[in-house]
Amino acid sequence: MAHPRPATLGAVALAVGGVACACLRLILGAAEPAGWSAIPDLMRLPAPTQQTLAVLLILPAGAAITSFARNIVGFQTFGTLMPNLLALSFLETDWITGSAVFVIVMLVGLGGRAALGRLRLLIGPRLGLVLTATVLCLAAAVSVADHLGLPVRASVALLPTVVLTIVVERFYVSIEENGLATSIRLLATTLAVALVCLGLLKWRALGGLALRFPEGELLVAAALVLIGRYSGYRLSELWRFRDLAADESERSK
Amino acid sequence: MRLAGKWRPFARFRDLRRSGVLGINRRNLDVLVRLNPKCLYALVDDKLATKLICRRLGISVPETYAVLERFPDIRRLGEWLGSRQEFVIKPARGAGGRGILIVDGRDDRGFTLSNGRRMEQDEIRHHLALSMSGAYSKGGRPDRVIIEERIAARGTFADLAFGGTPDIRVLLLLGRAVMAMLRLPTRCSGGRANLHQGALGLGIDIATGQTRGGVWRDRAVSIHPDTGRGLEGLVMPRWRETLAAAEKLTAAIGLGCLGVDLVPDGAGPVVLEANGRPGLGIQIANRRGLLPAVHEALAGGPPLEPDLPRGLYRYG
Repeated sequence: MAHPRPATLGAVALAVGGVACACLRLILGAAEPAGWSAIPDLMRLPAPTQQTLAVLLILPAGAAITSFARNIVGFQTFGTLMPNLLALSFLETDWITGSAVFVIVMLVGLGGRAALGRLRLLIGPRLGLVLTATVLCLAAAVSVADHLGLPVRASVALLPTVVLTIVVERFYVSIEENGLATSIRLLATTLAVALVCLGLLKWRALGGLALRFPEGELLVAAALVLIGRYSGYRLSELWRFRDLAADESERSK
Repeated sequence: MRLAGKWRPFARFRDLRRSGVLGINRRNLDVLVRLNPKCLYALVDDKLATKLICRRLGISVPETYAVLERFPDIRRLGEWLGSRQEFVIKPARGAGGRGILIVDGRDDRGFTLSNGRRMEQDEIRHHLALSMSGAYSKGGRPDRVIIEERIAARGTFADLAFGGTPDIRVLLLLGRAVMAMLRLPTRCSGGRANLHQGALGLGIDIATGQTRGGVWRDRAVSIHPDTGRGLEGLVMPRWRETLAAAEKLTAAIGLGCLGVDLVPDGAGPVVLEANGRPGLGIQIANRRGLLPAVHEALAGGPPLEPDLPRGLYRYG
């Protein structure tokens, strides 16, 4: 299978281009700081814009991590973008609020979804009802926290609530289709990959680097092209097909 | 016998390469992309389309009792079923055996499924409504529900299956059968014959139609996990005819990589459905990899051209 691989060449071109751009900018940038050539320099932007851009610029890296986990390691997750979405939704929360939201939504969501299973509703309304139950519980939790004098910013719970409700629904559908054990594994891998993505998003140094060198995106793109063209075995297949390898050594004896 | 010192819990990359195992990435990137034109998937993803093609080709399919297209049809199901006791409920676009119910008997209050489960009237209505709103179809697209004849397992097959109907999966590359397996529902697959749902797969020698041992939950096995029966040397009835039916259907559909599911019935093979993204567990069942056959298919031969029976047009 040693035919020329346009995809590989493309990836190399992207990577080389990225590095070349960055070097060129480093050399020329110091000489002429104003004018149109300042456009690629994101460091001149106001601080809040910088923060938002830093998160945005890391998202593709999260997608690359997820693709790697799925296509090369062989982890199964609920959707390709779900881990990234989960990580993004929890980005603004601190650990305590985040965990509280996570626990409440998962418990209420799973419990509510189990109770609704008996009502036999169509998918849309059912999802809405689970969301209703979750939202009510979150509102109660925020109110209670306020009553106890704890500082709460309810706004941080917006995104996690919706995203987690979707996860709960996917999890439930998956139980029916694949059984409980597989579904728990799917949920666990989704959360694990999401945690890695969250780690990337929270990594200040990486965000700074991405702002300083937006060309880095080209390197990520190169990685994505390579992952997308990987036609070798997934690591999980070394396990799945282990009995075929054993057979081979028997035959050759 | 494994050598004690050489046994590993994992295979190595080179072990799998040497065994010619086809991995899922290569299946997606090299095989499906190059052998299966996207526009042809509609012919197999919609089971009603596959049935229509089979009928025009003179290949037996389970008799269709009713097709539910709209929610109001659900109320008329009882009327349409008449006095039938046994039938199968199948979402037309259901993927991977999802949403299929095999009904063994019915009374005023509900159905009894082949795995012994009882479904009350409103539970069935809910299942039908869910199916039609796309709960089991790929991408959640709205769907139709087929009510069709239940093909009973006969002879050799009947005492091997635990509920449900065993079927034969034939894998064809460029229209030629390259691998086959017998799929037996087990206790843990709940009457379903899909490997990833816990069914047992027995490799079948293409030349002789004899089984060679099996795969269950991705492990090579030689006895039935429920009954303890040996799995090797079972002879498939009407094997030539079964292969011929699968090849005829594939030539018409034109997908270069296709799995066809059939049941060798008393009167001849009956096609249950076809799958344009066939699973890879069949390799473990047959104790051999698909790569040699894949290389041959990719290297030689023009890609298949769909050769649909007259009066059928390509859609989708």
